[in-house]
Amino acid sequence: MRSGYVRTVGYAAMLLALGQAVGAQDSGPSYTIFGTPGLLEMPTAESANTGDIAATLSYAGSGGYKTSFNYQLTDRLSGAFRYSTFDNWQIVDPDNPDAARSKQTFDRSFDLQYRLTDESRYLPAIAIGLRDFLGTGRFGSEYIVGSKSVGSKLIVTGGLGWGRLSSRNGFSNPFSAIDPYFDTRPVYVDRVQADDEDAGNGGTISVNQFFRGDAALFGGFEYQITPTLGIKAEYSSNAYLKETFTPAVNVSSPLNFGVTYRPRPGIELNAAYLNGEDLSASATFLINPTKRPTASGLEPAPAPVRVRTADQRAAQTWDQAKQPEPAVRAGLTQLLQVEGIELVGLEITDRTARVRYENTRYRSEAQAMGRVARMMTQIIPPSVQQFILEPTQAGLPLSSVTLPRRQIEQYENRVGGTAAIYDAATFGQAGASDGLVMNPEPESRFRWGIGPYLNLVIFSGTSSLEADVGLQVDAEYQVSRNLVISGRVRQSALGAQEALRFFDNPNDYANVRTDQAFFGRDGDLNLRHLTASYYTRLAPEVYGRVTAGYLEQMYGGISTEVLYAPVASKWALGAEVNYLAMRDQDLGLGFAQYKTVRDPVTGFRNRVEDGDYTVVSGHVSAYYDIGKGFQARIDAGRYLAGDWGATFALDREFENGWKIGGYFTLTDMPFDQFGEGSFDKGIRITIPYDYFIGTPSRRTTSTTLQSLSRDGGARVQVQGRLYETVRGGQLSDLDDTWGRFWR
Amino acid sequence: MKNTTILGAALALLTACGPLYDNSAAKGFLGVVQQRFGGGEPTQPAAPVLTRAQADANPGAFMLVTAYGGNSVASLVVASTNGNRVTWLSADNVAVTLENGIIAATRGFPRDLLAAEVSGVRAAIAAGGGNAQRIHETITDLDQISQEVLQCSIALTGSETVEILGKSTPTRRFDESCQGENTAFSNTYWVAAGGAIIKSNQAVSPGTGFLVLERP
Repeated sequence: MRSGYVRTVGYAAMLLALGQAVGAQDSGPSYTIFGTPGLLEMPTAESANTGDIAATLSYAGSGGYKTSFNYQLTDRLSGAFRYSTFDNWQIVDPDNPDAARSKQTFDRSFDLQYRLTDESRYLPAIAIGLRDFLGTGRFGSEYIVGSKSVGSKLIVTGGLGWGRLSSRNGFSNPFSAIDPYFDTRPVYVDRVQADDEDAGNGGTISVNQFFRGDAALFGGFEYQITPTLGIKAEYSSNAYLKETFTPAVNVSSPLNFGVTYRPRPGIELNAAYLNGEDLSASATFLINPTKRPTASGLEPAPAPVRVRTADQRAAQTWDQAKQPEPAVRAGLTQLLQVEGIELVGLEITDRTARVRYENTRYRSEAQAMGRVARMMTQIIPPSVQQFILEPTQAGLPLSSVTLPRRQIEQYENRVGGTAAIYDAATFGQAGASDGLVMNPEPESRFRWGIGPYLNLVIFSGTSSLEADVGLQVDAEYQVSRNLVISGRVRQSALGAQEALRFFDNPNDYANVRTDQAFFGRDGDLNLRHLTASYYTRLAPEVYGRVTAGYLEQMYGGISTEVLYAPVASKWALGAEVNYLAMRDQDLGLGFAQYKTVRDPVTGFRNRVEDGDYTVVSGHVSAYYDIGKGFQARIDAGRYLAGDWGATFALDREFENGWKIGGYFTLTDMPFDQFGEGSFDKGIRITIPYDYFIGTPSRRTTSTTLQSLSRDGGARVQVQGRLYETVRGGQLSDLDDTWGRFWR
Repeated sequence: MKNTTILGAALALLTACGPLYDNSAAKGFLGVVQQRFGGGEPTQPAAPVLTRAQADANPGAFMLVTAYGGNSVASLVVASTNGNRVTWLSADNVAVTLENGIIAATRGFPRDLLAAEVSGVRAAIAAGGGNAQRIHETITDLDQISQEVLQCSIALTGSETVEILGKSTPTRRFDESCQGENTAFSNTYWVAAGGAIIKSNQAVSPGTGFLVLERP
């Protein structure tokens, strides 16, 4: 940017800049077939740009497919999550290894890498990492690696690996000099292999293996020929030994070679020749929450502040003859409509005007506030010195922000004006409804939408990725500000489909989530949800919700929730109790539980209705804004299968609406009953629409990458839970996007 | 299977509709994907045109703003005055706020100039040249305020005749060269005999680029 301004051609060209925005300054490291920064299969000590999310799809002849997500959480720390499909050696008899057969398997794995030191003039950057430390350890390894650039185009890497990364030319562990503990690496015993239900369900951290057993050296280099084209070569320390449940990868050479092509920043294509046997191809796509392709957004200009003359400012009383209340209210209603903001109620006195409104357009309540304040300057009687703004959502008054009118006039378009108006504002709890002249409830409003849907089921068991496409219709009927009926139906374009084949789940609990495989597969119309939701304010900072109907794909019933959320507090407390019944798997209106019965003759799995499944589930929840963009949450209570426990979640929340987080749930369901994975855990991402489309929107899209969706620690999915509904008007969230007040 | 695949593809092309699906992510994503991979030509709306007759009928009422390197032209009128700052607004809600002819803020552009301190620039022009400090504020991709201080030098670089909507006016030309920590740009002002800036080419921000302002 130093060379001058980047000129762009219209908004469309702005979007074209999406790729460039990510790393125009620095293309960053290239990615391995494991989707982590590095060489081909071997890691390097490089880190991606902070905040980069890299999605990598890779394929290798005998290595199979890998889908990886790598996230550079901080400057030094990165984590990766991976789905792989590959052939695995089955039980290997050490006396007769050639007899082993391979079988396709699906695997999830997690990696972590931490850069210990930065590169200096003479010393390399050094990083330490764990690969596949949480799954069944098919690639389980640890490493310490150093990378040093030589000139501007060459980066040389050398490292020491343990576990799978020491299976070629391993030597005795240097750490053994510290403690003989490091001499030998305990063997990971798989459940199937041991024929023992208690052993090796995977999913737990294999700390007792870390950095133990033999070590081996690996290394390589990357050379950037042109800004877009690079080559890599490495010596791999993974020999892919034939052992029980190790990947059946063909190996005849320790050397790997590859070409990297980055046609534009944010996109990387790789071709490689691996282990002297396999051709490999991979593609990596980068996105960074901190680099919004739509810059500051594409919304129309606000109405400018209307500044009062000195005479007007001197007025002490509201001239009601000149500006009668109904006319002011009607006018403000119309002005706010322009901004997608609905006027709920208005109170005018000689000196103050209190407005209660619902913002339906802006992600940032602070921005909506700025727009409301400016519209108020247009029409509120000149004697009024204070504006009191009360945002609502779902009919719930969230907070009250008092702004001195003179400061609104003074700080418009002024350097430092954003901070100044924040300092001049007073934040508190929303007032009572008494005193407000309420606008009549809007006429019952019906809204609808029809469009295509694409549903991706990652890792169903029969294939690593299964897609369902079709048409969906959404409908929403707003009975009053506090009561909304909404529903969604879907019709698949693929017709009747076989049940998804999850891993068999023989446990003593109801199949509260694993039965999902059978839901909505008959090709008929699917009722995804149909609910009535009622919201109410029980006390100034206490909110209530009741949702009844078909809550989600698998459960119907009634869900009730109470939340205590002080406006200016970093924490909130809530409780939720649900009475639920499992829906019929045809996704019609009925409720039923089915069981799977194998036909003794054909072996075909039939689903037979088997009574009903009802459960009372519920949680007490604590929410805490840790600061620096981190949000923590703990829910403790009873889960869908009747198991008791708690969910711990931590999210990195960006001010622009992105959220990236992880959670895990521990319940009294034993690990062996839970099945593979041992306990529920996952990674979730929420992306605000306006990040991509630029124009303001309150909508977001969310995805959860679960290691496995099983029956333990499962919760009902209810739309519109209270905390997410009210928090936009809380001080902490207003603070986050206050920069948009004057936008 | 083939038929269903085709049907699926057809569905994917189908655009979502209905009030609930306004601003749907699908549309946004599709647009981004097309722009990113398809290299599609951006389409521009027809430029609103201001005629000389209209300008003469309402002297001083209009300002022409040309953005994106000439790809977008709009005619703006005064929407409000706040102290020594005047906010001009176009029919499609693009706003430019000027302080004595110098851009002090914009709204409706992808990277708006949220606020600027520019009083020194006007003083330097009035003095026939000199140095000035600017402070520019923009909103970052994380919705925070980013402030940049720029050191600028303003110099008289000659006399030029400026033509706006067919009317020629003799002017003195001033060039301003600014250097900040992250950005550098050069602005140009054409100043008429009475001291009014009748034409200028002024930087807004990286991401929005320059605006050409003309007073017909």
